[in-house]
Amino acid sequence: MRKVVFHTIPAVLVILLVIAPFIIALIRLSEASEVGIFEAFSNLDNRYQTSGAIGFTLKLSAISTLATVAFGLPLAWWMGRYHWPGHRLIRALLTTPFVVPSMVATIGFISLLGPQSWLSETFNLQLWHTMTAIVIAHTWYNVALVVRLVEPAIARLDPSLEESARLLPQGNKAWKRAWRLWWPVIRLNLAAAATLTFVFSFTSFALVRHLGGPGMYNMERAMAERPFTGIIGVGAVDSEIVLAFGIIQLVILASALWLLTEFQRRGKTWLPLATEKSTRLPLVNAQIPKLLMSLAILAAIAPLYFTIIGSFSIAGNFSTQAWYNAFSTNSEFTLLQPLLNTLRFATLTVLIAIPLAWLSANSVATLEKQEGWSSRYARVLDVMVMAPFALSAVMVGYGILIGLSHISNSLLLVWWLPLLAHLIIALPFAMRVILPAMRSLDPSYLEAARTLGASPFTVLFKVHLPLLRGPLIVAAILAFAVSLGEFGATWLLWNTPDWTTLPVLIDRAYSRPYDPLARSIAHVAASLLLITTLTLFITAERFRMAGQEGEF
Amino acid sequence: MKIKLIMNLLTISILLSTPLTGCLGPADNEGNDSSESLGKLRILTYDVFAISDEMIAEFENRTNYDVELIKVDDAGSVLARALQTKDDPIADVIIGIDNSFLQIALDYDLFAPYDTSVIPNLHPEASSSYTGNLVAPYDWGRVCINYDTTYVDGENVTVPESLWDFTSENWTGKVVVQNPRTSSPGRSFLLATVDYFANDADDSTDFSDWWSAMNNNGVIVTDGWTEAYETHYSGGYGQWYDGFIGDANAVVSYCHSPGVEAYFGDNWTTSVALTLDRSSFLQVEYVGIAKGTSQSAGAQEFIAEMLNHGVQSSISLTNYMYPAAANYTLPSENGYLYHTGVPNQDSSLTPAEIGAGIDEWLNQWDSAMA
Amino acid sequence: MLKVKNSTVSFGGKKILDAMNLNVSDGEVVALLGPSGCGKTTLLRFIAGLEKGSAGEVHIDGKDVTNLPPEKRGVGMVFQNLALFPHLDVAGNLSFGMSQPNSEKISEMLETVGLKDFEKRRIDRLSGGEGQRVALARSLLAEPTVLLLDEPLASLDEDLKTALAEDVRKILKEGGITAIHVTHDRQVAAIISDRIVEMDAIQPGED
Repeated sequence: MRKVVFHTIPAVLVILLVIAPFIIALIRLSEASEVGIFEAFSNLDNRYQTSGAIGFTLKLSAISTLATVAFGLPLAWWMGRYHWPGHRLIRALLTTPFVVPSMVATIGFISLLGPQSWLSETFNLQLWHTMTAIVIAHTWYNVALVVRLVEPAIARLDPSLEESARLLPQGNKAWKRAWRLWWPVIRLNLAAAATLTFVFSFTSFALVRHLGGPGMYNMERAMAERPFTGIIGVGAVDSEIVLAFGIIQLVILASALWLLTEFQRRGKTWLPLATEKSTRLPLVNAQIPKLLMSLAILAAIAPLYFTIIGSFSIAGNFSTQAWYNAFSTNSEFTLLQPLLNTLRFATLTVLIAIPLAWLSANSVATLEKQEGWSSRYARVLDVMVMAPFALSAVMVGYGILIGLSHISNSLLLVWWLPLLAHLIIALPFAMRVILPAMRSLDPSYLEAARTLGASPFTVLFKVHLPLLRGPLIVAAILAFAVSLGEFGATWLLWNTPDWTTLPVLIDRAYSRPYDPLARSIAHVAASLLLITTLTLFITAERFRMAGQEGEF
Repeated sequence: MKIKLIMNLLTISILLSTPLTGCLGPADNEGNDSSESLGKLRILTYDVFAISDEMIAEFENRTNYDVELIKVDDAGSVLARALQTKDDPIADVIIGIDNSFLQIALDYDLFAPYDTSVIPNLHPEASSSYTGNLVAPYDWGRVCINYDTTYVDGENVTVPESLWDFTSENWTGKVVVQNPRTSSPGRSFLLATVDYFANDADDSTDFSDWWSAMNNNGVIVTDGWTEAYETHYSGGYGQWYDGFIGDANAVVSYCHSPGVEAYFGDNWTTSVALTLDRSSFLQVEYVGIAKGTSQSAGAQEFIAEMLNHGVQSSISLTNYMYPAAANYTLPSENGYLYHTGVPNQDSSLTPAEIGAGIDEWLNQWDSAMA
Repeated sequence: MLKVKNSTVSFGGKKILDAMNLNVSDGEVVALLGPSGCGKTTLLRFIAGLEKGSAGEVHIDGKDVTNLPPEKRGVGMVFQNLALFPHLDVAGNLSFGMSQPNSEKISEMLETVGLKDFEKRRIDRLSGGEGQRVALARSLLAEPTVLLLDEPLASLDEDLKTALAEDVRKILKEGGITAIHVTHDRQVAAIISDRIVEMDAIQPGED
């Protein structure tokens, strides 16, 4: 009986945290929109912002995905195939963009390819406010995923497979081996990376809002900027649009995530991996890879470089004024409070999300091995915890804003409201790191501990937690980074200066009139976020378990 | 050693998790320790820059209320949040609803009456839309098109004599406006066009035809004023900023925006307000007491504060709007007042007309721009 | 002394153990011999409390332990894969089972199993045979009433297996330990045990 209660806790929490507010919000939205859902769908086509938003979203995601694969695959191949000097550092540089907060990337790309940027003035390229700019930013972000997921498959394949292929007629040429050996090996990992890229590009908000500019609306942006959503009477059109887009997003994202789990499940089982860690070749006579790899590394760090450079300039002149103002307590633009807010939300996100992810992962990993409805429950719980992946940040925000306020108005002002959004968004990331590690942990460690007389409590603290220390730290850092960078939901919920996080501050600084300092302050805030994230990311790299490179 | 590390981490996280109740709160403890606090006064507003930290500290000191700001993104969000929570208000004072939103707020009964004796004599413009005792105007201004005289040189491009001129080739892709669903100047200008085209000589066309034509002529639509003015408008201060594009030579802004340009530019600007009859909208911003509040005395005091000397004398330089009180106006220094355009006739929609028509007009605008 | 009475364990409707009975007397070392898949390991896990049965009882020292969790049964187990904790060193693994960790006892035990001065050795630096000895030592230090050995020698090569089997027998006998050793290797069974029970020969009703 106690066990039943124990395994029910995560489900109850997830239902209360994620699913209930979302469902209340959906009901509220359909109450507030004065037309049926089908009319809502057809109305999308003859309204500003929404007409063409679905097509644009799909086009943007598809092109971003193709570009990401096109750039990411060669990089992953060279990374997996050759041994580079400073291999870990190169991998860290190439995969850093993935954890960079979207607002930082936005600032970085505006200063890289916006007007008066070095790129636009040197090459006379006007990329700002074009779809190309967004695609470049998406590619920059997600190449990291391809490298992360595909490189290990290439690097760790048993070399005897290639050696034997060489000696057989079907593998005696490089292209034959590429087609018959390497492609099947990387296919599923690549598909998984591509699907994730699609998902992230699909729900992109900050980049579309600031790089896309006027008239460029994907669904996420078109539903975010609707203040009257969920208000009966005045908010009919806003509610109708958010409801329609919310449902479309949910369907498409859920299908994509189903595909992702399929790819990952099938990709896990059959690959014969080399026993030793790496089978990389020495790097000789690889001039083209060397050149292109250097360019890729430059491209990976360029937006970050310009973010920091921008913080030392005001209206084009060198100045440290912005940094000074950011850290003086009596300036209007002090960043101390927003920085503290950001860190507070991130810390609490970790403190709550990690235990919750642990509980959920533990229930899933334990119950899925059992018979009958236990394993069915495990599967349902797994899907429930992952469900926020199928909700965009803006939808999570509306779920909280509309769903919770329906329960009580006073909830709209509780200080932990943004925390709730961060938790919902960070939970599946933490779960995706902890669950596979827990699944692959040999249960005999836990059993041995118990036959040695250890109580369940002792087993947890002396064996289970220490054995999964690496994944736990990685999950904690990931959850921290997700919370640090969260923008869409926090922006939507923003109610009081006490909730201003650095990403929200950057956005607000960008829409503040008559103040040249505001832009530079945005750069300082972005630099602070960036430095924090990078420090965390480098720390996380040290704690990855062997065989875990294929996760986020 | 590990335990020490964990303890340190715990301490830090507990410190971080203690919610810091605003940097504004403690201000009243510094001055008069003897007086007791009269409780929290919650103010729902957007970035109204007239409400500065100093002004609030001064107010708290004088009245012994603890001011708590609930800030949302823009004027529309103020109304939205107030409507969303009207049965159990989250604020005592609501600031920032303008005359384009006023009727909705009145229809939904958001405000409680205030004592009108606290307000000074007002400019006629400030009391033009509403004279009741539910909301008090604190500032106003006219929304109209501004154009850049380096482009409108009088030879190749002449000063527009009708809004239709903006649908000509001269202006293809060179006009920037704001989305009326997300921006209050955008919404004000939409209202101006409704009235303008309802009263022009041609009865066969209305505002939506003009907007369709503008859409076909590549009008740039931004979410908010800052992006339109700072990034796109060639005649504004944006040219000194990072990220300036300057692809638009006309922008929807305020008739006094050229005045602000001049004020900061040593009495020099290339920007001019286009003051065609009925093409401007007189926007008035209001403050009111939220119905159902338990702090109506405090709310009353805050309304008085918004209309007293401190705020009213500086509002033209904090909020960049005309003060509502008749004793003050735009400063004449650096040509602020001189460069401000004053139309002969503003568009003339009453709050009641706006309340009745706005949903339909927004829908028509949506389809014109789709 | 250990008694398994009428015990049934099934997975997915399939009975792995069917009304199984087994008695082991004090100090006796029994080898369970049988082909893989006949339920030997399941029986050990059932005795240890790691599997739940649908029927049957386990008595240890005359006490019914059927409903006790594994840590309260006084059963030790050496796993087929040894399950040595990789995050602890040899001494850490050995002290895990001791109610009061005591370094003298640990070095004594290490000497008994032929691994003098191995305290600080990391688990991934142990050879196969050394691992076996550490696993055995860890279980013995917990002073179990009954020791269960689940084919711990299976992965070793022939010479080492025989030698180690002899050592194990010596250690068990010197300590007077009641043990069940599961194996499919008749030779190992013969060396280690006092009595061999052929697993598929255990029939319902045997007493």
